Amino acid sequence: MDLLPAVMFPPEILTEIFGFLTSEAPALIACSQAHPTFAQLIEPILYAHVIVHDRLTDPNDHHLKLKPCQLSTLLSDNPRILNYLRILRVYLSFNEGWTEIAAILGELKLERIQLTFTGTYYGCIGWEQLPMAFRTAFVTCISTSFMKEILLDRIENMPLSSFADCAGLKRLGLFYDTIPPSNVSCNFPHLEALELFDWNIIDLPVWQEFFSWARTHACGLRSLTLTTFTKNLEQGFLPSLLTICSTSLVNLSIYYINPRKPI
Amino acid sequence: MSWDDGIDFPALPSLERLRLCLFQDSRHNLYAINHILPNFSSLKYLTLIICLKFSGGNITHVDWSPLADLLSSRRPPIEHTDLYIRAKKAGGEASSAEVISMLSSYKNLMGLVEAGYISIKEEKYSDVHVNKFFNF
Repeated sequence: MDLLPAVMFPPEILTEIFGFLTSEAPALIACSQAHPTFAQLIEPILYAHVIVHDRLTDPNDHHLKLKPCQLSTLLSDNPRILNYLRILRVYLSFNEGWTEIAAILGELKLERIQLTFTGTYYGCIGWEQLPMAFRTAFVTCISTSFMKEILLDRIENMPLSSFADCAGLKRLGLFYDTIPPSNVSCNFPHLEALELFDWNIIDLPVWQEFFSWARTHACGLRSLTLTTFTKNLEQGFLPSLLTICSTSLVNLSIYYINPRKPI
Repeated sequence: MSWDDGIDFPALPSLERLRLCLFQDSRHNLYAINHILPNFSSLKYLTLIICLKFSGGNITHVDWSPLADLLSSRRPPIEHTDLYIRAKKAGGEASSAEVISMLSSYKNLMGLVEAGYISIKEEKYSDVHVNKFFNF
């Protein structure tokens, strides 16, 4: 094979160039097929951020997308890829995919994981409804010093105590409701970013326990995102949370949903 | 307590960026903005996303003057505001041309656009929460 002129560049330069395509898996795959040298340089970039799913996903998101069985086979055939995978986004409904992912999670050293339930459009699933093997593997996977970001979407009632050993955690996203830590202290010093989706705490004791947890672990927040309904604002949840991080907060996003009839 | 009565937001002396995404009732949306903004004296960048659903095909009967007045008061003196408006109506979603045409009669608002303080964004704001509202 003739050398392409671009291959004459030092690998550091080529890696820098391919690094601009981290969110464009089809382009990276096309480049990697152009020359074996490219393939070698691209591999760590291509597999750094993977979406694993069992249904259709956002067509505008061009990160590498694999079915659970495809990811399982890929890692089994190419164990070196375990060292490249840093961000894993899991979109699963009701199927066997949870078990396949559970078998993989323990081997990964992730910096970010997102877990989204896609079973129904508006619906969600309780943490306790997920297979035990998956829950155990997930908590093992996040309980490392490299895990910095955990986002749970449409997964409700995950106990806050599950994050107790996430020593490196900086960003946490929780959906709808959560179970307070029952006096379990978390190992991460302070969260930098907290995202609360469709947040809805009604029960006052739960509310108080949540704020007790937040006063210790969310007092240095720089970024807060809250998707909520009128009553949570009217009952003072947001002002109370803002008071906890009032001196550190730099970015604030509020999605205020007012479920009224069309105008 | 309700939006109409005002909500007691704490002062946030470090807050530089605020993204407010407000769904549906425009009157309440404007109350919300009115009550929130004056507390954030250090605010530099505001992203305002307003999502509306109309039962008919006419979107012009919303009075945008409270929003125009609020933004033109420049309290706090925000360096820049990105304004996204999405409107779902009978027959589909309103085009950006319709939205801009609707706002163009508010001279104080358009003056701020010309001065570079406000951008009325033509692209449709899209994220998981907004898309859920629009049922995509």
